[in-house]
Amino acid sequence: MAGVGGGVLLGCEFDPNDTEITIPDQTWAYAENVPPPPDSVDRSRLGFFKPDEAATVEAFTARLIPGSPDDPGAREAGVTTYIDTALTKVVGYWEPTYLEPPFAETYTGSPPPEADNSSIERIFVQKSEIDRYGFQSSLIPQEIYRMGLRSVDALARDRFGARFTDLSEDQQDEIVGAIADDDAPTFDDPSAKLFWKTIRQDTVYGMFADPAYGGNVDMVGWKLIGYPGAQRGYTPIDMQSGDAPRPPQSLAQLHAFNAGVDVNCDIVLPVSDSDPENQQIPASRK
Amino acid sequence: MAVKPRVNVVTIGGGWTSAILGWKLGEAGHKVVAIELGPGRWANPGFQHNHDGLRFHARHAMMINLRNETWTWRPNPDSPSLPMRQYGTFNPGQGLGGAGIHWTAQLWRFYPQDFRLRSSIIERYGEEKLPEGNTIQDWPVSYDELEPYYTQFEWDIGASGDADANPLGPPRSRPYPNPPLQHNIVGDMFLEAATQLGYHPFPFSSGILSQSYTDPFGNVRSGCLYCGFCTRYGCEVDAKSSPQTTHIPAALNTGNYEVRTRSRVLGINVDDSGYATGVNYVDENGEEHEQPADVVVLSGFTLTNVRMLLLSRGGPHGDGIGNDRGRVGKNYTYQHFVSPWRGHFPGKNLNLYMGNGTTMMAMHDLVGANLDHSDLDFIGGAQVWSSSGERDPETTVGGFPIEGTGDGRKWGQTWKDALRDQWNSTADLIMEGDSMPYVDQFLDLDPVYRATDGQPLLRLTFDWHENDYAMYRYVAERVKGIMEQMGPDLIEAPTELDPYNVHQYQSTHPTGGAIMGSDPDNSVTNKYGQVWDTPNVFVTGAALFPQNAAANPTDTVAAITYMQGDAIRDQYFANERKLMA
Ligand SMILES: Cc1cc2nc3c(=O)[nH]c(=O)nc-3n(C[C@H](O)[C@H](O)[C@H](O)COP(=O)(O)OP(=O)(O)OC[C@H]3O[C@@H](n4cnc5c(N)ncnc54)[C@H](O)[C@@H]3O)c2cc1C
Ligand code: SF4
Repeated sequence: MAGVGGGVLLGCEFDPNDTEITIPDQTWAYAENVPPPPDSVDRSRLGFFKPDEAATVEAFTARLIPGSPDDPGAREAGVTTYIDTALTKVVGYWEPTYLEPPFAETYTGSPPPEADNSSIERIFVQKSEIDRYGFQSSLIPQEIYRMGLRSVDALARDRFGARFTDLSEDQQDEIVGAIADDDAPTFDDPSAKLFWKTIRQDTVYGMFADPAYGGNVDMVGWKLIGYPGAQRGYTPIDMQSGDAPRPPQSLAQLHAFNAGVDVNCDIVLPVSDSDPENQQIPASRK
Repeated sequence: MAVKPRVNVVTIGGGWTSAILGWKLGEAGHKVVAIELGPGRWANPGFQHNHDGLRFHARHAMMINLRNETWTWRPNPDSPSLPMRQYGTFNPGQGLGGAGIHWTAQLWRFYPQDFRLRSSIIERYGEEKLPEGNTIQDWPVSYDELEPYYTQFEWDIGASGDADANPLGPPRSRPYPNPPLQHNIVGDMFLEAATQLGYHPFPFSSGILSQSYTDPFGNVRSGCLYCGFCTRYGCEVDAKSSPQTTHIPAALNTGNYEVRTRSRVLGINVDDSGYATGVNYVDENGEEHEQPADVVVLSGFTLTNVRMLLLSRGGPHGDGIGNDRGRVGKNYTYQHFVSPWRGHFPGKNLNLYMGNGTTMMAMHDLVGANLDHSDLDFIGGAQVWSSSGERDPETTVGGFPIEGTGDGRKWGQTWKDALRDQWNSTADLIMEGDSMPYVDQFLDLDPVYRATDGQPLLRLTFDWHENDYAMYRYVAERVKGIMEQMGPDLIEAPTELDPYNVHQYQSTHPTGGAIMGSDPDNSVTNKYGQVWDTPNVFVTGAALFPQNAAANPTDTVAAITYMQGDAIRDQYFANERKLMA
């Protein structure tokens, strides 16, 4: 279980044999906010999910964006690989996230007596107001999935007496719909709302982010909606044409400017960065 | 702790306002050091290969790292505040050039009336027209005084636009140096519909080059590639104007400007007589340094600037620098920057993934300065824009389907079919509305939540007021009319404004908190950003705005910084530590 208030370790591989999810202390040292896509994605093995968890995620996301080999959906796009890779490569959040306590507690009706909100330990917010404050969970994504998937199966058992993966597609849709509508009493922490938001967002990223992140295999997500991906540019004529989009291109296919030339400059500036590239001024700016 | 050699000026932050002052003051022989939180970076090689919507747009790679520092918010003084734990309402930047790297470059001047808002409302409609609880103020500087600086900045960065196209716009002494960028297809649809309804739409004005340009410093820059990865990215060809394209090279060329990157300022040091003596900062190795300086400039963007004032409690300034009369944090304002109006145009390839946030149309018919409010239940108003470019799937597919599609589900076959049919054929319309200051809308230090270095976070107390709801209602009805005129088969057009929340991105245009004014009782600084109670400290940027207009801030921020630079150079250094008249 994560220690609340811990930080996010970037670039740390998750050890699947370790059932505890631990987060190292964060530091103020400058670190890259958001890591680049992984150098490689291993499709042959799971990094974070246990096999039954991966099967549930795959079945669940396939109900969010259904598909077939002819008309790919989340399964065919490799959404599960995307999510597993994301959870494996970075313990915690890929995006900058403030994780210091206290985490808000909610109430309905009149405020609890402790809720004078001058206390450093506990902060109480009216339940009807909490959504305005945005993301407020103390859980990290690994915990949201590990515990949320248990609640998915618990709901499936409650309603249909079987695990989610053993249900018919119609039954699965009923479970997915209940979670989407926040009508899923087997959820506690994460709440059904948080789990839904997380898995739907990750389905979007797994289907529509650059293939380098492990999903959007063969750019099937981009082909579905007509998005050309990482292009170098368009002309003013393109802007006005109304033509069908170009075939998509991934980041790896985007040609580099000045291929083979790292930095076209030779003046070292009084910019005291530890990365030497940042101390140099491009020739065009001299 | 190491003490660095004394300099004339230290700036907190190495973004746009720092670079402008570094250039103006460096040229006059003053030694300027900028202490910058983030890394150094340049278009080449830094921005060559950044077309990754997940990393830069969805995950905010260029923004201040919320792991360490964020802002807390509550809707009103009776509610608890909580930290914004992940990016929502605004995206302040870090790194050399600040938010001037990842901005959208929508370039607008304020209207002459904006600078004398209180007087102009009272003259026209009487004092009772002002909303209850407001703290609206006139600026101590006029449009006419700033006009030459607007013009200089626009020519220095090579602004693009058509000066004659907006018959309602503020007066200009010179046209734009470059023609407008090529607008997208929706721009034409909007142009036709809005014109039919009697409005005056026109092509956007932009801080992006529509063609190659040789600037007054002699830099030759390339025109825009319409690449579609613009806001929240650095421009790979320097077509988007930034401190790096223009003012940082000019500052560095003076030989008197230095930037220390990956270094975080902790606060401003003060001597017993109340003058600032410099700043302390922590470098990337965690070592603390003192940088003594004759003048301290707050160049850290609105929110950092206000927080730094409040954290700096040395000498006689027990409540913070500039706060001897309790004015710091007051007149915090924001903007209505939303696009809830959507229409679906079946079978059309709108191709809004191309271009950027300025390849579109605007209209100023509903801006406060151009409305007669006599029979209206609000003051102020909004710009209305057609769909912007740079649409990426990572941040937009979640918003489909459009209301009224199929069984209404936001998942499953309904969602998938909607994405296929709607994603590239849905247009939206955008409003940018002004925001008034009120007594219950302010910034202070949070009593509970802290940055990981132990210093309190800045707390925002902010919500919409009656005037906002009424203004939105008026604008929404008219924008809906334009969308209907454009002829979509499905339309989504909410007519009521939701209460403010912090999770939805609106704009990075928070303003006020250290406002300029006519005297120390109504403001933190004089018209030059010089702090009344600590005259060797200067505030820059939008923290100086008494209230926010219906326009993006940077043209005005830069014009003020140009004016400040000239005044500090010509007046202040001739008579140090004295308040300038
Ligand atoms: C997504 C986005 C889109 C925008 N679009 C537009 C637009 O279309 N039109 C427009 O007019 N404006 C736009 N803006 C606003 C524009 O970017 C700002 O007005 C402009 O950059 C302000 O300049 P500045 O010098 O005040 O702050 P910045 O340029 O942001 O520079 C502040 C610097 O201070 C540094 N800093 C902060 N705290 C510390 C500390 N404690 N120690 C050391 N350094 C610190 C930061 O790292 C940053 O580099 C946009 C902003 C954003 C974020
Ligand atoms: S859209 Fe134009 S200005 Fe923006 S990043 Fe691309 S090339 Fe640069």
